[in-house]
Amino acid sequence: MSIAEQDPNAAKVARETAGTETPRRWLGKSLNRVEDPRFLRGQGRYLDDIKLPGMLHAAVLGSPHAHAKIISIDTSKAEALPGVVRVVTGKDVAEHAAPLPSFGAGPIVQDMIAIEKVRHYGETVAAVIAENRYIAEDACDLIEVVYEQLPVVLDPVAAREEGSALVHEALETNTAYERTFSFGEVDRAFEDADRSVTANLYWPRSTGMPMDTNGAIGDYDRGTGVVTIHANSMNFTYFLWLIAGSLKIPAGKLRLVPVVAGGSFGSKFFMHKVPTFAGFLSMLVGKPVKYVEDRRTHITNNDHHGSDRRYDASLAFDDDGEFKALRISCIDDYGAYLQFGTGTHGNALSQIVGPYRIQHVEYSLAAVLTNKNQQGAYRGFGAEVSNWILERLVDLAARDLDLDRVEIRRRNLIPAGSFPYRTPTGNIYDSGNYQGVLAKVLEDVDYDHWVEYRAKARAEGRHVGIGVVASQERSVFSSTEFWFWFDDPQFTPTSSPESASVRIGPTGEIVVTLHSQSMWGNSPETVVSQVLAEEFDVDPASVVVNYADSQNALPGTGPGGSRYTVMVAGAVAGASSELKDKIRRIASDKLEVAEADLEFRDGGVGVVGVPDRHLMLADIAMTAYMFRLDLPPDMPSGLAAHCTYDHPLTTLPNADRSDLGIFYPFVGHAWHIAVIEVDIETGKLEFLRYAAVHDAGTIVNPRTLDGQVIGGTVQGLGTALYEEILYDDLGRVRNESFEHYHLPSSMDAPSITVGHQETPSPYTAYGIKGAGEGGRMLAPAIMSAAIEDALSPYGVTVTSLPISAEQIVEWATGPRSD
Amino acid sequence: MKPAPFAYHAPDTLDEALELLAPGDGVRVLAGGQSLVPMMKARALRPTVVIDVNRIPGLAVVEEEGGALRIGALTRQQALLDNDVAGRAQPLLHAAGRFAGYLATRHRGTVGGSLAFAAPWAELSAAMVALDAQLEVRSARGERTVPARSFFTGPNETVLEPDELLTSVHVPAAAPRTGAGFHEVSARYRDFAQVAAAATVTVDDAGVCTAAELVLLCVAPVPHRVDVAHLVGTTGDAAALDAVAGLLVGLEPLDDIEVSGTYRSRVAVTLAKRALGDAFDHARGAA
Repeated sequence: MSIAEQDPNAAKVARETAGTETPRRWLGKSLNRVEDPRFLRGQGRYLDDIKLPGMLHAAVLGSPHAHAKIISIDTSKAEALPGVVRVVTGKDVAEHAAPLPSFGAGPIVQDMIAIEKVRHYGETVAAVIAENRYIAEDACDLIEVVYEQLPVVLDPVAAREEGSALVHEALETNTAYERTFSFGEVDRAFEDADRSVTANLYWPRSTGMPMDTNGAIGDYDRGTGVVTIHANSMNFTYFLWLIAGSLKIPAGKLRLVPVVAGGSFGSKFFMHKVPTFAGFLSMLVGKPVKYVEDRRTHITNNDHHGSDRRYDASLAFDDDGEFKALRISCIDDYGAYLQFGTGTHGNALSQIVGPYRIQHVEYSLAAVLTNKNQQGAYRGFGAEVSNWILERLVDLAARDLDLDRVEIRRRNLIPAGSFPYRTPTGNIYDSGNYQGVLAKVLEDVDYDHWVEYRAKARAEGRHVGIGVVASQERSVFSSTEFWFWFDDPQFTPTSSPESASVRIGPTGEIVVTLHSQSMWGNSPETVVSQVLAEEFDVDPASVVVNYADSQNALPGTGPGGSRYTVMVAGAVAGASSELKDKIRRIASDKLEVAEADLEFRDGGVGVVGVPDRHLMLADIAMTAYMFRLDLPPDMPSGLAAHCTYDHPLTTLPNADRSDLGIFYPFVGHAWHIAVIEVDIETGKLEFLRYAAVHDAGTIVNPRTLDGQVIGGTVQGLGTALYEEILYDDLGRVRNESFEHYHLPSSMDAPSITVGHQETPSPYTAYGIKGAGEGGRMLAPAIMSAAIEDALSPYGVTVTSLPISAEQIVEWATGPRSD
Repeated sequence: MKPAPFAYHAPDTLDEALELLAPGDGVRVLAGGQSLVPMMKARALRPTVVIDVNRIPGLAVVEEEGGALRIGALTRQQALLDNDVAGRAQPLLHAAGRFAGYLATRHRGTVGGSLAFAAPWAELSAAMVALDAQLEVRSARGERTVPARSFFTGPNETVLEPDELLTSVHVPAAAPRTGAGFHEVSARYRDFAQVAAAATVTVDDAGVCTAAELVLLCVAPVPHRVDVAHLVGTTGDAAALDAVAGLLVGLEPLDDIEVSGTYRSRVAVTLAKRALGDAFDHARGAA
C-alpha cells in the first residue's frame, strides 16, 4: 500500500503533523473539557430551551396498528378544540411535500406522515399544531382514524416466503436486498481446513437512547421564502439538499441552524425526518413551530433502531488453531423502510476478519422489510454486531480445540510488521501493534491471578467466569459503503469531508467555526481547542468555537463512524498551517529574521533559541488587520483560513465487487477482560474486574477518550444484558417507556479501568484514529464469553442477546455437563 | 407526553383537603408524585382533579414513643431512611426502604404515597404488612384505622374510598432482639422489584426464634404474608430455612413483560431464605 494513493491535501497535513521529534505541548493531555462549564451549569441551550416569538407547538398521533390502511381521518373535533391552530394529515403531505430521502434501492417510499397506509406501530398518521404542547396532545386524542388492518409482517424469515403480506406492494417482495459476496476461495478453504464451528446467532433490536430526543423548530419567513430550521444536531451540509427536496423548496432557501444535542449515539446521525417535519409544519401555518419527540415516539417511531440480525456463521480452522475462512449469512430485519440502504453491513465488511489473519470470507446478506420501526445508526453501525459474531465463533473454536481463549487469539493476530494490512474485502488496516495491546491488558488485570482465583472459587462451588475478547475499531467512513452493494448504483458519492475556519482576530484571539453540528455528547470543542493550542501554543481555554449555519457552511459530514476527531483535527491543522505561513512571513519581516528561525511558542512567535525575541499573536494580528502598508506587498489584510479536509484514503470498489476498495481505513484495536461472578439462584451477576486497553492511535485527550470507551462499554452492557425493543404478536411495541426498556445506569456499570497504547496512523493528522464506538464493539462479546465461562459446568453456549437473569437461572437449573 | 387537562388544588389545611376530596370520583391526591405524575403524563391516569397535599402542615412528622412509631403519610421515603430513631425501632423499615426507588425518587416519594398507590412491587407495603402496621385514614365523613394486612386488595387497589386520605402509619414496637432482612431482584439497580422478600425474626437469649414474619412481593396480587410459625423454636438452621420452600408451593405468580411466573416462584424461595437468614443473623447481633 503506497501512501501516494492518499488524498494529496490530507497527505500534506499528515506530513506536517506527524513530527514526534519535539514532544507535543497540548495534545495528549487530560485537560478539562471546555464544553463542561456551560453544560454542567444548565447553560447549554438545548433545543427545548429555545423559544421563538409566536412559536407554536406540535404533537403527533402515532398509529396503534403495525400494518393498516388508513380509510378515513376525522379531524373536526380536534380542530374545534380551543388553542388548536391546524391539524395536519398525510393529505397535506401528499399535496405539499415530497417523500423523505432514502439510500435503499427500489420503490420504498417513506413520507413524514403516512399517506395511504401505516407500516409500523407508532408511525405518524396526523399532527396537531397548537398554542402549546398540552393542547396539541389533547387534540391528538380527539382525532378519529378509521383503519383497515392488514396482515402484520413481523418474522423476517417468514416475510421472505411466497405469499407473505407485503410491507411495500410496489416492491413486490419484502426482501429489499439479497446478495452473496465472496472474497478469496472460501469453499476450498473450508474443505481444506481440519475443522470448523457453526453457530446460529441472534442480535436483538435496541436503539440509541439520548436524554435529549430529536427535536426541531421550523421558522418559515413568508417574505423571503426562507425556511429556517433549528435542529439538535445535523450533519447538515452533507444532506441539506435532501431536506430541501422533501420540502419542495430550493436548497438555498433552507437554512439549518445547529443546536447542541444531549446525546445521539447515532440516533441523530441521519436526522432528517424531525427537522423536515418542523419545517413543513411551519410552512403550513407561517409561524415558528417546535416539535420534539417524546420518549414514546423516540422508541416507536425514531427511524433509528439498531441492527436486528439472525446469523448462520461458520469459522474454518486447523488443528493448531489457525483460522482459515469465515462464512457468514445474515438476515437483517430492517423494519418498514430502508433509509441507509444496507450501509450497516458495509460497516461490518470493513473489519469482518477482526484482528485475525483470515484470508477467505463469504458474506451473504438478505435485507428484509417488516412492520417495525426502521433501522438507522447506532454506535457501532453494524460492526459491533459482526464483532460479536466473530468473537463468538472464536470462543467456540477454542472450546472445540480445548485451547485457551487467549492463546487461540494470539496465534491468529495480524503480526506487527504487516501494516498497512489489506483485508480480504479490500479495506485496509492502517497501522497496529495488536500483540502490544494484548500484553498490556493481560498485565493490567494480572490475568494469571484471576485464572487462579477462578479455580479456587470453582472449587468452593462459586460461579466465577472470565471473558477475554478483542476487537477492531474502524474509524472514519468514506461514502462508498452506502453504494458498493450494487453493480449499477444510482448515486455513487465519494466525498465525506470536514471543514474548519480559523480566524485570529486583531487582538490575537482565535475563533474557530465548525461546519457540522458535532456537539452531541462528545468533545469537539475540546479537540479543536487542543489542536489549536498545539499549533499556536495558546491556552486552549481561550479558543472560541462556534458553528456555521447551513447557509454559511463549508462541506462537512458530521460526527459518526468515529470520524469527527480525526477529520476536524485534519481540517483545523490544514487551516492552521495556512495561517502559520502568513504569520511567519509577517513575523519574519518584523523581527528581521529568516522564517526558518521562527517557532510558535508562548502564545506567539519567537526566534529559536532567543527567549526575548518574541511577538504575541496580537502584535502580528493587529498588523495583519490594521496596518496594510506594514505587510508584505502581495499579502492581503486579515488573518483567516478555511480548510476543507477530505477523507484521507478512499479508493473505489472494483467492478465485480470482489474488492470493495478502501473505505474505512483508520483502524484501532482493543482488548477487554471481564471477571464476573454469577448468582445462579437469581441469575444476577457481579463484576469482580473489568479492564479495557485500546489503541486509537495518537490520543488528543486521554480523559475524553476514557469517557468514550467507558460510555460505549456500558452501552454494550445494555445490549448484552438489558435492552431489547419488544414487539408483540400484533407488532405493537410492548416497552415504549423506560419502565420496561432498561438502560444500564451508572449503578449497574462496573468500575472500568482503561489503558491505552498509541500506534499512530500514518495517514491522518497527528496520527489520530477514531475511538467513539469501541466499547460497544467489545462488551456484548465479553459478557457472552464471561457468562458462558461462569456457567461452564452446565455446557452453556450464548447464542442470543440480551442474556437475561431468567435465562441464566434456567441454564443453571439444567443438568451439569461436567 | 403531557397530562390530560385537570383541575389543581393545593390546600393549606387537612380539613380543606378532605373537603376537596369529598366528591371522590376522578380525584387523585398528589404527594411525592413519583408514580402519579409519570402515569398522568403517559395519560394512563386521567384524574379530573388533583389535590396537592404538600402544603398541609404536620403530615410529614415521624414520632417515636416506647419503640412504637407514628409516621406521617407525607414523610419522604429518604427522610424515613435518614431517621435513625425509626431505623433502630424497626430495622425492617430501613432494610426495605433502601430498595424503594433510588436517592432522587426517595427524596420526593412519600411513605403514604407508596402505600396508597399500592404498586405490587412496593417495598414499604411489604414492610408494613410484616410489621402489622395500622394505617390512619381520614375523610370529611370521619376517620378510621385499617390494618396494613387488610389494606391492600389488588395491584394498585386498596380499601381506601375515593374521598379518603391516608394520613399516618402506626408501627408497633419491636420486641427486643428483633432482626430484619430484605432481599430483592429487579431488572437493574433499584428498579421495580420483580420479586422481593421482607422478613423479621425475634430470638430469645439463647438465639432461638420466638417469632418470625415473612412477606413476599410480586408472587400474588397483594403483599403476600407467609406463615413461618415453623421457625419458632429453631435457630434458623438450614433445614428450618429450607422448609420455607414447601410453604411457597401453590403460589402462582404471573408472567409479565419482565419475567415469568416460574422465575418468580424459584427466586421467591431463594430470597425468602436469604431474608430470613439475614433476619436471624441480625436478631442475634442486635441483642
